[in-house]
Order: sequence, then structure tokens, then C-alpha cells
Amino acid sequence: MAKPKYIEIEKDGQKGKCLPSSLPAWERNGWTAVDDGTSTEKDEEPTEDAPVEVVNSPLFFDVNDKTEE
Amino acid sequence: MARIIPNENTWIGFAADGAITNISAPTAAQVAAAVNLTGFTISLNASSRGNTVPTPAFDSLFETSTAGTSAATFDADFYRDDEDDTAWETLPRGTRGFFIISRFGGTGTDNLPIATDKVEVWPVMVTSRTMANMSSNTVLTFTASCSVNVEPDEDATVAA
Repeated sequence: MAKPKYIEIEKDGQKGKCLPSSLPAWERNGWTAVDDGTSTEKDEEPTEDAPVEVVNSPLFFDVNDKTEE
Repeated sequence: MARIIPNENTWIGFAADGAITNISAPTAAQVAAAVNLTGFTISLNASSRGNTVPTPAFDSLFETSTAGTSAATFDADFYRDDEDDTAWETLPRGTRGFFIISRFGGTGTDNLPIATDKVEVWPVMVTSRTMANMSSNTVLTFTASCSVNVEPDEDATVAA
């Protein structure tokens, strides 16, 4: 599950974060958004078409990997 | 000393994630900046529970125990409002923040807690925001259920 993307908000010099959907409620309480939320945390959604990353592990060893020789 | 009911006494606020830097001593400005949910609150269940670990031994018939972990839960019921839906809009699922509870009410305007007043501070994340069953002749309400992701302070003092 992706982490919710938060928006930074501010009121009278105090800072906080809220979800975009709750921004109107905070704005009615005197808070204002200080960014568009693009700089806050988020996870990439996994997709079924994403390439499989090959890693060396005891259960899966890449025979073409020469780095440890 | 008096035994009181929450109506016209208790004050409930919700502070934004990151807005309170010290849950043991939120400042008066931080409390004042919280969204006042008092007028939307129907009921509130902020409780903690401790576990005991049995430690019986062969040398006694008395079953001793020792202190184990503790946990907390937070649920609250709020009204919906077709014009000012503040509670519903403030608490979507995934919201992080702090519930500030002044059970006996603060000494500020409209029971707002101010410096030296006692409050409870509950760091939470809303895990569900669900409407109550809709039925005829019943006001629309919803329940916000929260995880308590940091140990709450049930005896915090508002700082100046």
C-alpha cells in the first residue's frame, strides 16, 4: 500500500502536515498550504509489468554475476 | 470538587501531524491551532491496556505475574454536517496527527486549554473512517478508528 502523500501546512508560524483531501478543513481553521505536496513522502505503486530485479541470495543466485569472483 | 459530565466541559481538538513537538508539553499556540472538534464529538474511547505475564514457579501455589507490554486504542464518534463537515474532512483514513483532550475543559475561551491546563495528547493515525448505519429518523454520524503509534501522554501540561 502506498503511503499517503501529505501536504505541508502552516498557521501563525507553526508547521504541520495533512492529507490533500483534508486541506479544505484545515484552511477553514486558518491553515494554509506551503507546498503542492510533490516533495513529501510517497511510495511507488508496484505494477505487474515492473521488471524483476535479479539479486544474489542463497535462494536465487545469478550465474552471470561475476562480481564476487 | 465536582463530578461533571463532558457536555459544556470537555474540549477536543485535533492537531496536524508534526504540529506538536513535545506531547508532554504542547504549547498554548499549538493547542489553539488545532481543529476544534468538540461540537462534532458524540463519544470518545481513548484507552490503554496493560498486559501481565504469568511467572508461576514450582515452589509456590500462588501464581505470580510480572508487568508486560501495554497498548492503547482510540475510537471516536462524530456528527456529519451538510454545511460544515469539519470532523469528516479532517479525519480521512491515513491521517496522522494528535488528539488533544481536555476532559475537564481548559480555562481559556470556550474551554480551550491554555498554559498550565492539563490535557491528554494522543498521537494517532486514522485507520478507518466509517459511516454509522443509515436508518430512518437517525442523524448521520461516523466513527474514526485510530492506531496509537506513539505512547500517549494522559497527563500533559500545556506550556506557555
